Amino acid sequence: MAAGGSGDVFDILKDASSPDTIAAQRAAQKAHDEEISIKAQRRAAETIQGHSSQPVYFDSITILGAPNTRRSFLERLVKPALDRSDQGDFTLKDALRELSKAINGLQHFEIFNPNIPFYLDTPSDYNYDPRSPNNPIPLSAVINVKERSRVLLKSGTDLGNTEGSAYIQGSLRNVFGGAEFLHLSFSKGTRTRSAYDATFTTPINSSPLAAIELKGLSTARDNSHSSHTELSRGFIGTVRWATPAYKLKQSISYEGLWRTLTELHDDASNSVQRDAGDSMKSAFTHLLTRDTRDNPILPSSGALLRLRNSIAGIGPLKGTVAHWKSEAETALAYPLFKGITLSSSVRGGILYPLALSGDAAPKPSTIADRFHIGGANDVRGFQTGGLGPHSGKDSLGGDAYVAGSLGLLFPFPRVGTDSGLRLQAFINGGRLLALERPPEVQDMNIAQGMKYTVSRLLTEAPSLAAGVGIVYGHPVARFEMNFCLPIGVRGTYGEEGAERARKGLQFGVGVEFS
Amino acid sequence: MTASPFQDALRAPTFIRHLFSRFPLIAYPVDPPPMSVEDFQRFTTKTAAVAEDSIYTLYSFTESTDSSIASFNPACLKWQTYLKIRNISFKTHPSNNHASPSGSLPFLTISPPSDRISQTIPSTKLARWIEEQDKAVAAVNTVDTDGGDYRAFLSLVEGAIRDAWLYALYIDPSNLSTITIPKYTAHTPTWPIPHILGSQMRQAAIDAIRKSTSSSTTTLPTGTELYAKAIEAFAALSTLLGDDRWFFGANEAGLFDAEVFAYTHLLLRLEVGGSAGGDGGLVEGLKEFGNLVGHEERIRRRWF
Repeated sequence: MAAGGSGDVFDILKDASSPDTIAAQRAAQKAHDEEISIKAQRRAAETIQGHSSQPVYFDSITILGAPNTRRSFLERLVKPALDRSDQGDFTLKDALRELSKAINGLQHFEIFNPNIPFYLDTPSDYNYDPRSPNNPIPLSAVINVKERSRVLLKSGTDLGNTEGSAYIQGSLRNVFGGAEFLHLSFSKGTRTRSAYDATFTTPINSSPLAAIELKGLSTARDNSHSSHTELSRGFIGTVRWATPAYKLKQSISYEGLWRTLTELHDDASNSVQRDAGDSMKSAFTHLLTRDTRDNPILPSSGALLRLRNSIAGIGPLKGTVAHWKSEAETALAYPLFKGITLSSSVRGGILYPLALSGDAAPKPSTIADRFHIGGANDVRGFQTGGLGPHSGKDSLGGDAYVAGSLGLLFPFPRVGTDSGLRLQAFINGGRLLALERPPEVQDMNIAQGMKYTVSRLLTEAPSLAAGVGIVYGHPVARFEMNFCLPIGVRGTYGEEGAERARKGLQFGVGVEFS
Repeated sequence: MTASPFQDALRAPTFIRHLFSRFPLIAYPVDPPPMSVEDFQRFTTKTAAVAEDSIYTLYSFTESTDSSIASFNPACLKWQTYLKIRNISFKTHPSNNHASPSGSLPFLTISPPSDRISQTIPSTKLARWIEEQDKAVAAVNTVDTDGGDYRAFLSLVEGAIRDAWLYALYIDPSNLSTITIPKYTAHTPTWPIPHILGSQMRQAAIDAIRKSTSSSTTTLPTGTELYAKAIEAFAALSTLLGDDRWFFGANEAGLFDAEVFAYTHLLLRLEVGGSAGGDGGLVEGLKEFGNLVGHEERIRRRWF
């Protein structure tokens, strides 16, 4: 500015209502307020610090602002704090810890605004007796919550594994006043052609760590890699619980799914034609996850362990498919130096056919139950379902697999590690086999066949691909653009039964990469 | 072939193509496909199943892989019978409409033993395919399928008789629950699938009858009306057959014989009850025509 000195001040005064000035004034005011509040907090903290060993007890805990929440639900949430206080030997520090636990619980249910202030006071009829300072002081705590709106409607777009979708969702929060959720959604995507589901979730015994989820669903999924569309409708009931200290999550679920393989392509292979039509899967699944990774989308340290076991069709489960399906997955991220991260993963699974109740012998697995591996966020350098047995262009899937990857993530030049951008180099591979009979054995059982198949899986060279690319880890999903080249593949291009590799650029979007 | 400039632009640069042609570095042998039910039976039971070596498989509504067990669906039974008449050796495979590229059964697959890829022929192209099989022809049935008479009688089978069949098997509640649902949902007997599929099949039959009889969307002809029309049609067919062995006085059975057999066999042998059974029902009505019953028996004894 040409004019200097007092002219500036004059200009500013004259122009006091300019947006810049107002913004500056607001910022200054805000900074001032924050300073006062920080000072107040510090003073409070000092006061508490000074009296942290003061014996106290809870005279009352009041939760304000929750007219639509059941009293019994809230009582169970604050009960641990009251019980602890009743045991005696309770200090102000303990009281604060117990209160913050209860507040964490309240926040977890997502039925209140996350900012939950609380106040501590003594009851109005209490008079402090200075002669006996070690007598426990009664406290009345007030937790001030604000219920979030009960009805939530939203629409938007979503990124899942290997697909993008658009959705409409309606949620009913705190349905019966106990943090129950009713969630209805309809989505349409690139691979999941349509999905309707209705989910009801309720915490178990007011615990933020355990919940029951009941879900009804109807989906149509485009399995182009196997020349068909898969319709599923049914019910899934899940009980889940977590151990926060060990970052361990577990769930047991029952699913009853009516599946229909339909709309076969004209050139669908015989295997797909044989498995087309209806089937009923009735299964129990146990899932265990231990995840210590710092960021599941773009981890730089930590480990993941996931074990999944399901049993379908045996005994009272009925249904039309019977098997034991077991999968294990581990992933490890290790920071090296200069922001470079080493990441690796190994996973594997088997599908063991069992006899349906009422049947004498097991039936072979169907394409809907078998494993299909390969794809941009699975085994890169292969097409979706590109590994394992094929017929024509169809992935037929396999009954046993192993897959693994080893990669290095480098910070993007001149951008640093704070952004989600990375460069990567990887080598990954896998092996997928259908249950096979050992060549020299004549009369044998499934256990022998599975043993033979798994031994082939572990002793023979996997199909491999390597590549370099760019990764962008957005909080919602991870994007990858890689240049891949297959190294070892089963069959040559165009050969019947050959695996389907992908040379050149491959684009991947998803929440889970291996 | 001359490439257009557009294709030229889309072609990868030479060095990329050169690079791609070197990968994958190693090609391993192909893995075997998953086992089929038949492979599995051989695999789990020590006795090797009697393998029918035919390369032809007719996917149809049936309970067996043995082609001499009749399908319980008229459209499938018609082609099953005609393939047998033309002496083509094949096996059947229990299947459902979802498996068919055309959306309905039957269809034929050809799987040469040397090749893992198989070819599929939908029922609409089966007649022509059979004509092209020189080794398969047993005897020539020289009925003119384009003649006016032929078409008139064919429309009786595909109209009145089919409508009565649909009513008897899909709309009559007792046959629906004792014959149709158990047979068509044998592979998924778990509640509630048979129940849902049953009501879907019933609705499809109602729609088909409405379309065929061009009745309004609110009224449907009664069973008695449909059965009476079908018996009239049987009477006309009986007159047409007269004392001949095969329809239209042919020397050997043909497609029309298969067509009629598909309904007469199932009506006489499937123990159809409910409104279609008993006195004055569809089945008793058919039994009145001795030559049609004899025709059914002739085909059954020779080919099934």
